[in-house]
Amino acid sequence: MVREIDNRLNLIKKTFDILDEFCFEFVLLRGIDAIESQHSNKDFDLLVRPKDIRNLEQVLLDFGYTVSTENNKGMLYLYGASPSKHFRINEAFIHFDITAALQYRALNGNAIVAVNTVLQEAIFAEKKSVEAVWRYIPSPEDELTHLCCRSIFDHNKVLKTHKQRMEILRNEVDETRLLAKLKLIFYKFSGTLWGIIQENKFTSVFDEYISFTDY
Amino acid sequence: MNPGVITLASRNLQSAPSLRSKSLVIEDNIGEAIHIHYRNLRLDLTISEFFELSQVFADAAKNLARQLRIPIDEIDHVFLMNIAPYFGWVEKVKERFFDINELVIIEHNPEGRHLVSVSKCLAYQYLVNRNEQYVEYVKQYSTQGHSPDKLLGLLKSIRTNGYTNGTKIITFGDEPFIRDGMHRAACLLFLGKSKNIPVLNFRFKYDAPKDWMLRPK
Repeated sequence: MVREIDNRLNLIKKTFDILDEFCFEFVLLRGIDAIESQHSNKDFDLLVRPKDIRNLEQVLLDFGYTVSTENNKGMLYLYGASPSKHFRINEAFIHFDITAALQYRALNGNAIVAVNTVLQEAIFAEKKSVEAVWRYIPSPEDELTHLCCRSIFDHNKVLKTHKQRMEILRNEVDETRLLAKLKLIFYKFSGTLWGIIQENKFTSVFDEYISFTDY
Repeated sequence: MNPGVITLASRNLQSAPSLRSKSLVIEDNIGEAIHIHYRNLRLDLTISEFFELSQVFADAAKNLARQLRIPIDEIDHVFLMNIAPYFGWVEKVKERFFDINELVIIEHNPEGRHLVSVSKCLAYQYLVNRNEQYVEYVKQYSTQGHSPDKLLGLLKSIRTNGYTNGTKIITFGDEPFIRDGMHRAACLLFLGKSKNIPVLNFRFKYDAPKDWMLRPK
């Protein structure tokens, strides 16, 4: 068992090593707990550059991963969005969900939309280097913006795990930088959204968003 | 007529723009603006501007309907939109009284459409025994946002407020086919109120296009 865990962590570490060796830019959006867990069915969300996705796929296949492309029949992918790719080593419970854009489900349900290119660039430009296997994570402002998008667009509510993380991040962010990022997606709702996060009113986020009329 | 008009700009336009020439889309971009996409033109409006513009259109529609003697308040708005191309050929709109069992429902299927009595239509069958076929039918064919919940809501509304307080069942010419109001008919039959039902009957001018007829003479 210990050997299996050791192998798993080693494989994950080697995967990140290889991504770095090949100079692929990446940011871990989600999955630290899944990486650290011994047996986890959860995947790790990794953001990479669109220009790298093809070469990265080949590199990971050569390393021993299997790959499948997300199959969302009838879904439109807009403004640079594309189906994410799933890389797995099943016997080691390793599953990377790799996407080449920050993208979320449109409220009308049948489209995945990539967000403003300013945010797409900023998340790489402002990523934080960490002393951990996964090496790079988003800045607090980018991560909080991402979690807001996941909550409102993908889930239509704030999940417990996201809430816990947002409670931590709200104390780490620079308010001016955060609001500038939120405005690029949420426009005039951004101030209200930040207020909701600060006041712990997470259960009302989605309802407040869809009923917002001050514009 | 104002003689004091100065032309600020003038240009000959293409009769149909090459981009999105058949498109009309109205979107709420939350936090940003209401967009009205008309062909290749986009209008950005605040919510209050949109409501103001909507009211202008609603008032214009009412004035037009008054001139044409069409009781616009008794007609479903989506159906009104569909029938608008025929407005110029409406001779009169009259209230007639029918037994629900005299009327015929037009239901869609993969082959096109078929005609059924109100008692056999899927909406009525759903009210009677929650027939799941109705659920699939509205998902596939409804253009007016029908759903089982809405049908049950309509039933409750008619039970509480009566049928004549809302929009009415509509027929064309001498044909017994329900052009709008299938769900109302189903609810009325379910509630046992099938006799002497007021229906709005559209009569068209002799020279009207005949494509409104299901059974051309």
